[in-house]
Amino acid sequence: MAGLFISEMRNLSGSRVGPHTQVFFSWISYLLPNFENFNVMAAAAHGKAVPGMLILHNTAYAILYCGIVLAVASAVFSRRNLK
Amino acid sequence: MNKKSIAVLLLLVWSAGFAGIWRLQHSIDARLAILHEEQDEVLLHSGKMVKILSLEYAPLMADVYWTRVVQYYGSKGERREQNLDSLWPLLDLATTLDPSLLPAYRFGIDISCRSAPRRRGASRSGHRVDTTRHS
Repeated sequence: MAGLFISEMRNLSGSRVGPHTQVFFSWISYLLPNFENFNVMAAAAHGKAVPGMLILHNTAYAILYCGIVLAVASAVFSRRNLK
Repeated sequence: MNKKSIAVLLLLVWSAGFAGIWRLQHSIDARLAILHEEQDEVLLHSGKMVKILSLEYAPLMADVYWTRVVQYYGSKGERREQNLDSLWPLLDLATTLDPSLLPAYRFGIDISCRSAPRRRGASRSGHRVDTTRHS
């Protein structure tokens, strides 16, 4: 769910939250998966072509993020006895 | 592999991975910004036609176009863009639909003066700004 509100996290106004909170949410926004990267609905609706480089970078992003999550998960679960 | 080496390896993968994510995210943001860039187009230029199409709701349509003028100017200012080519047609539509829409005239005069038109009384698009009409 949080991955759908990344831009809101990054654009938190300084008048609403403190500077430390702003920095915290900015960091958190890079740690959470940003699902808004894959949202090209508006462009598609206007008949705009999605650039190939964007697709490539999004694919790399997804692979890298999945890799990190799987590496952490495998390290965590390797210590546990699931029998 | 002992626990310590696994932890070190994990830390390396984690930090290198998120450094990569950071760079990729910036690149994706730049490309998405270009993709989501608005293209300002005024599809209906004829005020008379819009007036006929809006039936007896012409003043309401004028308010809609006036709101669009404010949004257009505001978004241009936010993006620090100088090109205000669609401003004149939008203002013309708003004032044609509702000739008593005084804020639109005042705004148009103000912008015409500020944007330093090529010749007196002319907008950037070359149309004459008739400031005395319907006032």
